[in-house]
Amino acid sequence: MPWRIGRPVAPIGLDADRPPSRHGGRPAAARPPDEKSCILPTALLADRRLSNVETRLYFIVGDLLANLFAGALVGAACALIFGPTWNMGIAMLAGMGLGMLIALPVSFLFGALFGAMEVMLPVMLTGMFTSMVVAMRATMEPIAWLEAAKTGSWLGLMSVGACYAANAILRRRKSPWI
Amino acid sequence: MDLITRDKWNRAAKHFDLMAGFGPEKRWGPYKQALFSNMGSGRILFAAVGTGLDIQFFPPGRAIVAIDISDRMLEQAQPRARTYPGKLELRQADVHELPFADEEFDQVFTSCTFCSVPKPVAGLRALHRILKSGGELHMFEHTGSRYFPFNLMMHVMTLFTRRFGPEMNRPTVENVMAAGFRLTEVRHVYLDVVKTISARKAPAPGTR
Repeated sequence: MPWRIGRPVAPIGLDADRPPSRHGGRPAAARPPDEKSCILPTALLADRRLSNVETRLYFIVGDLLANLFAGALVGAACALIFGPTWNMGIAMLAGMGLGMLIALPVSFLFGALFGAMEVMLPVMLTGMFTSMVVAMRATMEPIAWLEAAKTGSWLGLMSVGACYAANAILRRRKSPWI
Repeated sequence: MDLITRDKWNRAAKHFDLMAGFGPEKRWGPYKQALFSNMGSGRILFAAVGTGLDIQFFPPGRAIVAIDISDRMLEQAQPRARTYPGKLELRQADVHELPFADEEFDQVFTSCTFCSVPKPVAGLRALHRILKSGGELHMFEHTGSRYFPFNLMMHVMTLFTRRFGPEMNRPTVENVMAAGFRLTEVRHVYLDVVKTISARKAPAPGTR
């Protein structure tokens, strides 16, 4: 749990001032420090784990890898399938569906290692946008699969960035229901 | 008991820990631990314990009844339940037809449960029935999104995932309200998709 030495500190996104539960449970931030959690490195780690953006290196690297791979795979597949004989609108729509279809198993593969929704949604976004961009380019001029894979990787990195930004904004936003 | 749902989760039990046991648990662990720290000293129902991955996040010394529709899931949960330093009873039950008396529990906890319950409002009404007046519902759930393109992607994913597992586009917060609970807190864990939801059953008239 998130503590700094001597004094309990509320993690971002949790209620520090919330009163104890009627039934005796206490919010994490209001619990007295126990013997283990007051050690400084644990406290720093705990704060990082509950912050508004992902700060754990393992997951950041995982997110980047998953989207680089998904982008490259979808880009290459779209470059091989679509070409100048395709109507641009149809190619973009078909590409969008194909990109999401390819991205889904990739998200399951990486999701088992790095998280469920946090992997699935950026990877699906990567699949959707990469396929649209590559399919559109392929209808204008033939594009080599390696070049398309490179484009896909860049779009994958951009999708991760967009999802991190959206997450930071949405997590700070007040719930519309209360 | 809903046999179709039971069989679906019995089939999923074999590979469930492979998919959900490492990455998702590691990523969501701190948030689940914070939510489950609300577990009090009264009687607690944990709906859909699955293979028991969440047991590691339960605070010690509580009296918990954990249910699941799948007997195969419960078989896998047994060793984890045995290590819990408190009273933890595993029972096979369908959340739509809970085998408990009215107002038997002080608190109900769920974790990624109502993405899979076929009739979510009916299931939540069943939880409402077994909760005491003023009792608390605490949920860690993934839901649909209100924002494009995430909402579109959740709808597309649901077309595939509902065949072997959960649905990705459930309006769980609205369902909680529709079941008669009063929301006390909704916190986003990831985007507006993964969230913790806390709600309360209205106290009986004349009580605070």
